[in-house]
Amino acid sequence: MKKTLIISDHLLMAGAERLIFELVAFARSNQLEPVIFILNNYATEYYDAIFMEMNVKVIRSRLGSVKALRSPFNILRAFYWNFILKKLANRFYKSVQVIGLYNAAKAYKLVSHVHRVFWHVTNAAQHLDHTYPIPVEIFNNPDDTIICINPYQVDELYTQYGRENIRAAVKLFKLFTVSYDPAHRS
Amino acid sequence: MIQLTVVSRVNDDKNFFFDVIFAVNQLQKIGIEGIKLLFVGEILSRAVFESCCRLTNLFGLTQNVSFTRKSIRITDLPENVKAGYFINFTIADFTGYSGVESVNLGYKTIFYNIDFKLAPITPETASVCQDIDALVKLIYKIVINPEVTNRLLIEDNLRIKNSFFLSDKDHSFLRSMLIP
Repeated sequence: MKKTLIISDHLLMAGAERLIFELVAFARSNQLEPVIFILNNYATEYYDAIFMEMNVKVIRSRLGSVKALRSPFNILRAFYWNFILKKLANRFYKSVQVIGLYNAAKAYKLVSHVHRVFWHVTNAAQHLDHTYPIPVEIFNNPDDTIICINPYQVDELYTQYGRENIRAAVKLFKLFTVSYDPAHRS
Repeated sequence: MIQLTVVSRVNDDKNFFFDVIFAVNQLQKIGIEGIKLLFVGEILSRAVFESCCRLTNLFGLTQNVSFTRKSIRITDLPENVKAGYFINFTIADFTGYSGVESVNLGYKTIFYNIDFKLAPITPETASVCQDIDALVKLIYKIVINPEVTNRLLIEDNLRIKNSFFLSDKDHSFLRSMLIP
């Protein structure tokens, strides 16, 4: 079964997490198995139970330094996933979806894949001084795609970083729901 | 009596709650009493939450404003809340999933733009408010002329609801993003 990896940092009852849920529903109805990777957060949150019920694999592990970890089990798992995501992601997953540019920044050097898609889920008005606290480096790779969910984000990115400094492909899409769509193909 | 509800986690990237509390205060000043405002959402920023409580106090609105202090699914909210109006923070006319959810469930939703810079270009439709004056005006209209205002609002909500479904083109695009 073809797989896609979805990376984020929370599974709370909130918008970014609802996007994960909709991507999971879409993937499943397109013969694509979603796998969720939650970074650096071992809590049990709202969507954990929902995904368990749906039989969607959720991995909670640490990317990057394992110094803060205590449990030997978590340390070993972290080493394992760091290795897989750095070296073998292309083999296991058709694409890697990262939710939020803040997570893309965390994953940028640690997850290698030829088809990385970064979902941009905030607007400038949510940040101090209307400025994204995101380094321009995350836009360097022309193989990456940035999906914007509203046109204002596109303007904001080009204004803040300069269009010429964004080498990743910027695509305008939207928030969507397949779980409510009466025409939803299952 | 009019029930207004904001569904949002209380955190510093959603720090627009003041606007709605302010709107209730403005309405009170022009004689519109009996507005109940409920904030549904987990408190993730103590500072934002405490500031809201303080402002509520200063405006004399402690009987009108309440916080659930935890996240609750819209579908699990009490009937009187569902029968009221959901106020959703938007970026111009763009809404996030809490807005998608309330229109999908068929609950009356007011979209309120929180980005001052985008107010001039925010389309003013029956359920979209470009700024705080528009929000106050809309709530005022709901109180004094509920039948017509509600009808137009519900129609506009339906238009917005339809915009979240995937067209064939959207399906293809999304498929290409997941399975290149």
